[in-house]
Amino acid sequence: MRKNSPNIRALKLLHSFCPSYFLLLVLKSFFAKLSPYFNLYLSAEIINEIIGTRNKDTLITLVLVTVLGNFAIAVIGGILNRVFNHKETLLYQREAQYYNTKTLTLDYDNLENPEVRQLRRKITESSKINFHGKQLLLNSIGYLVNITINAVLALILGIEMFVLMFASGFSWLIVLLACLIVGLVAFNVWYSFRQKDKMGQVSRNVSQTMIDENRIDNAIDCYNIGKDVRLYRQDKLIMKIKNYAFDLHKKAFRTMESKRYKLNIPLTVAGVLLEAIIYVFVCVYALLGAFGIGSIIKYVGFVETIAGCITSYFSVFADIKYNTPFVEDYLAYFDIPQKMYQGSLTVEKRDDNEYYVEFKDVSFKYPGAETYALRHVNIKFKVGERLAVVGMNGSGKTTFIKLMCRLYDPTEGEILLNGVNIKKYDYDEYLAVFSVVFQDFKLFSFPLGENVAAGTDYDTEKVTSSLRQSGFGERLASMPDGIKTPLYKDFDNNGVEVSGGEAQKIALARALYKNAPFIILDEPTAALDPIAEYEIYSKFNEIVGDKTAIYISHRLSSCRFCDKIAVFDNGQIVQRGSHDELVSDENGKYRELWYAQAQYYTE
Amino acid sequence: MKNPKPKHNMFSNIAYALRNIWKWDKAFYLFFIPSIPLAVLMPLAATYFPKLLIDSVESQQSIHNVIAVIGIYFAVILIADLLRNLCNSKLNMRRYNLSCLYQHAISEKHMRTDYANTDNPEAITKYQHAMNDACSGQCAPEFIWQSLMGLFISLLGVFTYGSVIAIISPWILLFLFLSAFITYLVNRWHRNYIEKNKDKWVTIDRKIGYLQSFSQKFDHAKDIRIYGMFDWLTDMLAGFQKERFGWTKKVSARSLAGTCINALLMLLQNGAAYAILIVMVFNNKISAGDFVFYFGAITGFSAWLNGIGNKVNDITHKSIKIGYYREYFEIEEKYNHEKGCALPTDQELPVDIELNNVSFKYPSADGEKHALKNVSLKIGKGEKLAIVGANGAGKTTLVKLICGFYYPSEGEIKLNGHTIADYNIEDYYSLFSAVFQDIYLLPVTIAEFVASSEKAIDRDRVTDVIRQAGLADKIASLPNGIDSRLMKGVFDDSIEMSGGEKQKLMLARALYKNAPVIVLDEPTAALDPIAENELYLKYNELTAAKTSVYISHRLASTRFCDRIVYLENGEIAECGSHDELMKLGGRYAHMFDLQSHYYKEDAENA
Repeated sequence: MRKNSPNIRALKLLHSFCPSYFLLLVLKSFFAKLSPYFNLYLSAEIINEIIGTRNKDTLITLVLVTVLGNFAIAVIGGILNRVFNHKETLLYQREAQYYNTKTLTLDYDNLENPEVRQLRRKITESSKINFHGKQLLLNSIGYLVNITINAVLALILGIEMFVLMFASGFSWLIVLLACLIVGLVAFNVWYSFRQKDKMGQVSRNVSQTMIDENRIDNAIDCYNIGKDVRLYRQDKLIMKIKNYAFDLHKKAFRTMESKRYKLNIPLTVAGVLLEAIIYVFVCVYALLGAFGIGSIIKYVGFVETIAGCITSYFSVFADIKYNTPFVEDYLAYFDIPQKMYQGSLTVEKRDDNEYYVEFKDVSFKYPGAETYALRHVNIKFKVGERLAVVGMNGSGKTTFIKLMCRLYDPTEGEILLNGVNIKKYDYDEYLAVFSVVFQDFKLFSFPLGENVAAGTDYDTEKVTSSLRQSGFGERLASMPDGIKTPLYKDFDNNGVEVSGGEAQKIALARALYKNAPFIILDEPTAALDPIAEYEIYSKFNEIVGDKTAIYISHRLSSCRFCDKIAVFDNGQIVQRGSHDELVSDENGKYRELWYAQAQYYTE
Repeated sequence: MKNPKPKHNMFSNIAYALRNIWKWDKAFYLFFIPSIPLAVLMPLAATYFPKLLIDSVESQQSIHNVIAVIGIYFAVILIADLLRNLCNSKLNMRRYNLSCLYQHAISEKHMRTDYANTDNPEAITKYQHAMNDACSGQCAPEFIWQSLMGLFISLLGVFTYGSVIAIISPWILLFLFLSAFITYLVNRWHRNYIEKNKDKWVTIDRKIGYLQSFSQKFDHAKDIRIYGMFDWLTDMLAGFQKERFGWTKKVSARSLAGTCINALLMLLQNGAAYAILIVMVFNNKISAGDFVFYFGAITGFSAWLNGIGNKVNDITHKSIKIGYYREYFEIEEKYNHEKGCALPTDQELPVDIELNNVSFKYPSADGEKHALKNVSLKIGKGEKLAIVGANGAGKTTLVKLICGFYYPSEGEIKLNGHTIADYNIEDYYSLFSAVFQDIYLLPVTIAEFVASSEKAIDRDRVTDVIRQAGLADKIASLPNGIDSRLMKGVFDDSIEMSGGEKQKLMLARALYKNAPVIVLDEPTAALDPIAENELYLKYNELTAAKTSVYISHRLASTRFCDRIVYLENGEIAECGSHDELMKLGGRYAHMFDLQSHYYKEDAENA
């Protein structure tokens, strides 16, 4: 049973989302299965009565019981089905919440970790396309319950048949027929196992090609690339990629389909043969006088059901076994440790904002990378300072920020906040110290106010003033519903589209609203026009106030209003000092960068 | 939701779909036809067989006869099953083919239609309607065939079963029709409710999906963590789920009501059937075997009748969906796509571009807000034009119009004397090498991407333009060089590129194309000062003997241009060379001064 333990673990987890789900599954299945037996049983009684004594009152009673019983079963079954569907919805909703919570609290470096990414991709893709994982597990359990109820009902109602058969004695023909039935059932079990095994690999191939096709299709979603497609005549290239994915899938699908067809032939033959022999078997008994003619159909039904249940049992277990690795993947996602959350120190709330951050010989390699993104970085800055960080593309500026915000932990060395290693702080509290506008910031298709406040409960005044400060005031005034206006038109036709520059201002307002002691801006004016940029520059001191600010930019003019500049090159800080100091260093990197830009403005 | 009246009627849609199947895959029909007799005869045989069996056992025939009856019946079943399996298997393969053909046809249309049709909400809806259906696994123009067959089979079934029942009692037949009609009404009530309200929960579902995928995206993770968005996102998810659950409950309450009404109808119907048949048995009109057979026929009959209602409904629905395809394929094109006037010859290069009173309004824009108003501008042969202005002034819109992506709301744009509408728009596009602000990659090799072609790639030229764009070092660091595949995550060996590198790649692609007109929209936004300066220094060389348009917020770039156009609120506010505009002391000069402020040696440390 060792192999099934992930399944049991997963079931326990799913059970915790909606404890009454499984009980209702049993009740609902019972009523769904009851109806055919009820009809088989009672219609046999009616026919026997017609053939036999033809008692009027008995017949009327039987008919009334049949029709009223059917009505009751249908209504109760309908009610149970409704309740079950509700529970099922709740279960899946809560599971989605649970999964989402895990995703949102995953350590940042895990998000980039190729193994974690692949794991998550496997989980979503295989569940989306083939329902493997939790859903197939739940479905299999559903089948199992159904089959069991079916078998139990058939056996209970079939006992009568066995008793009658037993009483009427044996004949060689019957022994032969019984042997044939057992033999065919055994063949079915053996063969469907073999078929599942043979189909397993091909259907895995098909799923894989579907997953690939899906991924490729997502990558070339034509909606976004309309301009490029036309100007560069990429339609042929795109159709080539599409056809490549399509052919791959088609080939796998064809192989699977023809294999399935061939493998199904013996099963079809055996199935029909089994049914025919069961008929003969029951009819022989009827001819021997074991039971009334009306019971033939009923008893055939019972024997067929029992034979079918045996085959289905094995088939469901084969499914569960096949699905187990997917369930393991699913659970593995929840088992990813969260090491960022191990610290417990609270960050001292200081009214004077007296914080300082220090990098002590910090080196860093991205997970899976071979070269260092940062090497031996030493820097210390304290409250109220404005630090400009400059350097070429790929010199480590953004990595430096990510480490400071503890999105990653350093590979070597340590980072201190007020003299204490930042790993020792409570993670959420530590993050609360920083307001950051990343280069690739993201906004949501929800109301503007919620975007700025990053929450539904917000201080309207503060949101408005943050937006004004970031230079969004004019646009805000023209918005129909003010800060309640939804951004983008994804969900709301009243939503507004914002340009790249406007989005940057909203992101800045979000950073201001948070009002953290450290404010970090990574290329915050890249999409702004010179006038808006100048506004930010000239208001920079007002915006930042007594906070510590770090400013990253390719526009070196921004260095002029910072106290200190750190120049990054190849992952190291190569120069440090004020603008005047650095620009006079004839051989320095800073001077090279500065004049590359300034020459055009200073003649 | 407003539902405009469909352009095509049901019969024309059905004919359209069947014609396409005939055109694309004639054998499809071959495998479908045998399913008709099978679908009618099999259930009938299944109803008749118990009668035969009971009769033969009741008359105490020998065991051989009983076995013969069973044997013949199951031999027929076996042949039918095998035949059906064969047809289904063949059809499954063909089905998959057909829906892919539709998907590809829609994609191709989407890539070739006027660009304006890809970003106007109405056209996008048409595209999505068609594409969603083609990808749904129940592609309407192909599955309509099944629905038509289903209807035909149901009609046959009603006819045969109806004749059988009419022999016993026409009254019960009438009753069955009545009850099927009520079932149809109940189903329609339920379906209409769903149709009417579906949009509401589809929107909620989209929000839930959006939140879930938002939470998953790596790019979003930084903001989510730094701004502590956890509570916000989880509360929103729970809120939407609750709202969605409310709808689930409402729908399931209605479907339960439907179940109860159907159960009641079954009660009446079966009660009546039993009553009539039992009376007949007592009057010795029918045997026990007949009883079983007729009872089966009566229960089966209502299934056929309901089948007709369902199939008619199904066909109506599918016809609407086929209409989506046709409307998308027939979408209005303002530009020529097949024919057009000849492109300028080599002697006529470089080209000139003339805008006469051009105004433009985005179809999605509110009210009368024009993105461009009365713009008149002539770009001379080989001229280097710079466009500057505040965010939202209309710079990008202007170049999109020039490139032939939009059709001016008023006025006209001419290239070498012909309006854009005169050219075959595909030919017209070949005149432009452009780098836009928004960057999109494809999962192909660097060489294929730069050459935008799968074959006939001039590899030396690819290497050359990559060097010119400043990407040579990056390419040298890749094990597969220019044959490395782009877009990490799509293929196992795909590579990742930074923002700056992507921008350089876009430039390389524009250089490879080497078209007569060069359009650069903020091509240095993500570049560091050194790389930016390198591009400036090379700009003259890159645009030699070409007409070019350069948009940038970095006003240093305007120095290399012959003329600068300053846009404000969609209108040309100033126009002239850098020196002229600086002398003028207007908006441009102000903007330039602002940007130079912090670069001046004497700037006070603000």
